[in-house]
Amino acid sequence: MSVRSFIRFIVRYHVFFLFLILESLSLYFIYEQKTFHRQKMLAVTGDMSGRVQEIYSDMTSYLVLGAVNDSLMSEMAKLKMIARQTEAGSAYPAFRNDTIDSLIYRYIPARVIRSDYTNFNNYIVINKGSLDSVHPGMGVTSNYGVVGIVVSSSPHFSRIMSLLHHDIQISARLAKNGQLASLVWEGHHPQRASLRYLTYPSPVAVGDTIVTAGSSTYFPAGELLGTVEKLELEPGADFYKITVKLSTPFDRLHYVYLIDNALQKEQQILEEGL
Amino acid sequence: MKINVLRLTFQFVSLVLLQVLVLNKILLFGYATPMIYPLFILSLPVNMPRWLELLLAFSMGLLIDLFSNTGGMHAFSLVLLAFARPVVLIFMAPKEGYDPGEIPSLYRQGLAWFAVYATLALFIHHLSFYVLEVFSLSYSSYILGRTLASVLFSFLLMLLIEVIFFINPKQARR
Repeated sequence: MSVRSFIRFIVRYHVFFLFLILESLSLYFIYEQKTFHRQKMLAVTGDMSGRVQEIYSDMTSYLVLGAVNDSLMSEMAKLKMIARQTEAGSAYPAFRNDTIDSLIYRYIPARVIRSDYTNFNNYIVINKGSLDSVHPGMGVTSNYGVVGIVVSSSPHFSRIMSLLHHDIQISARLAKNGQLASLVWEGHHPQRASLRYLTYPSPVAVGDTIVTAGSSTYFPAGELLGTVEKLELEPGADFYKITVKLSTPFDRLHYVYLIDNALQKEQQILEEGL
Repeated sequence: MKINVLRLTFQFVSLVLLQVLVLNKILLFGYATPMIYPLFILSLPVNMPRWLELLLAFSMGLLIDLFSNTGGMHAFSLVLLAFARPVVLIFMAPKEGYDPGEIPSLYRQGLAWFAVYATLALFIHHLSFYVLEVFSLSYSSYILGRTLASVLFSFLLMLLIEVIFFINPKQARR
């Protein structure tokens, strides 16, 4: 084929070639985005779109100040109660609160600049990054309950894989008796998750609290996950089928805490050896 | 051919903003998220150069992707729609053909024609979007459910926008 007929071929089907080029470009961007958590750092574009989203969040954050105030006040009340209990507890030396836990976990506050909850897999972007010593693998909670796990960070922003993600699985406990189970999200509703592997028999009932087990390196034990909403047990089954109402409202999430676990590396290295 | 650049720019910007700031945050019955920005491509003149159509679709999709953390999913689906639109248009051409520079709309073509045109196009767009989002065929009922629910929701919103902005006797006379 001569060069001229080749060029004529290209010109004749230029629309189709343009179509192919644009579609492969799009696919490339999708691939980049889907393999995000494998990258150590966000590229320049990550920081740039983070900034754009921050501007939007700055503009709209005034509209929710009331709700944010309310949630902060209720958290203050909770902390005050805990402070009282600790004071009372110190009268009995045998039950003195162990301070080691509070040294292991350090909390970094951050503002949510975008929270997805309508997608198949959802992410949250916050305004703290590697310059604020945020790193992938940190657990994220809020005053409502568990939010997710940090998967990547740029200098000023980080991306959190939220509980509303098909790849996430949180080791959980029934708060009542400490029975272990596993929390996963199966899609559809941003407020409902499934609790798996809770063995029969168990005193579990509708309305019971589900908390983190503390066996993973992401979360300390006892962080709130949600409450049991629906409970089923097929005859002869070993495990319950449980729907959990998540305590975190992902559509109204404004502030979160990142959990820095000082012993995370040590535990992970040990567990890798197992 | 005359292209009304001002009108196109206004449509482009307002549809992107509406999608990114409002519609992306809606999830009806746990299934339906409306996407109405394809209306921009759907209401381009029928004899628009195809390369320009594709480039416009790509840039609009990419802009929405940038704001909604979706990589290139909106871009891919919208380019696919822009590529398929002329085929749909030929398939649905009236006996006497289109006027040069005609803009397909609810007002000009009537409800039945517009309903078929829009739902067909939205189905192509939404299906490709949700397939890309899930990226696994083991969730095909999820994909189909979300596609159908969202197509219905998007179409109703699209009708509303057509009624508000496009049924305009002055524009019709021009």
